Amino acid sequence: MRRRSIHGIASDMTPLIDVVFLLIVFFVLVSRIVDEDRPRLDLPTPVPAASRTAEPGPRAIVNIMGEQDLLLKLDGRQWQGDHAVLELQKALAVLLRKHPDIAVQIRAGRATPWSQVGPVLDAARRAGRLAGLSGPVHVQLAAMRDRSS
Amino acid sequence: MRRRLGSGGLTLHMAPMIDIVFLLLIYFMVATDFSPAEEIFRLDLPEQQAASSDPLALIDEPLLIRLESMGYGGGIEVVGPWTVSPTPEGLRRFLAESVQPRGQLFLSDHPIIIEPASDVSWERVIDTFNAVVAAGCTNVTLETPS
Repeated sequence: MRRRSIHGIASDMTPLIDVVFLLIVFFVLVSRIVDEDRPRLDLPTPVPAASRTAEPGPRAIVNIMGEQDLLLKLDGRQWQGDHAVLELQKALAVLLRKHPDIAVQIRAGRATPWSQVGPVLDAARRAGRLAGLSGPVHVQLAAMRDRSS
Repeated sequence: MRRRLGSGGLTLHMAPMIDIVFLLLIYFMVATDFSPAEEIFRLDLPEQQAASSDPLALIDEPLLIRLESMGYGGGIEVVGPWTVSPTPEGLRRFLAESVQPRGQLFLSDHPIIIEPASDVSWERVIDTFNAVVAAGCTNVTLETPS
């Protein structure tokens, strides 16, 4: 497809469309790769692993960042400091009230002490109680499968 | 770019070929799963019940596994009259031999509680959890500080 203006300047549409499509594909790919819900964490890698693939379904991913200072992330929100666990508990309670069957996935680095992970699990349990769940809160503990095993 | 092949008038168009090759490349890139090999352990957090009034609850007394802090050697202690090698592999072997169908001590859904000390790393908690799940136990939970 070629259009000629009065002055004889030719504009070729084909390469333009090619480049635009390439840019679209590039950004689609990049947005797929950068998963904001799963920031890079050095997850534990048990060997031989008895973990299983997460079944599809609604889940809230809680990231425990920072091995010294607790930093919690959930759905693009994040909390830090003394009230982080309490704020997370409130947010989880709201989520669980709306979606009682949602699974809470906990992602923490391998060096994170139990003194940081334990309260988060307890917050999930309390959130279930606050939300009035009749059954237990479903939790998923994220681990990395060793590709070589 | 057009290349003439032989004398039969056959021509090879390079541009559409490259287009198709790129499209195939992009297709396979999109189809590839970029998410790393993340997997999960399932865990149900029931509401903690203080001193159940149900007399039958005593029968199903959970097996308690303590993870000691590094200050105490960082071992694994199975509370009870058992001698267990204080490593995840030792724990897995003990449970695999105690849990039905191989063993007779526990049912596979016997409640098991892992109680880590506060400075135990998440890696050790997951290693222990993994060992219990690998032994065939299905009712495992973590004792949360409350």
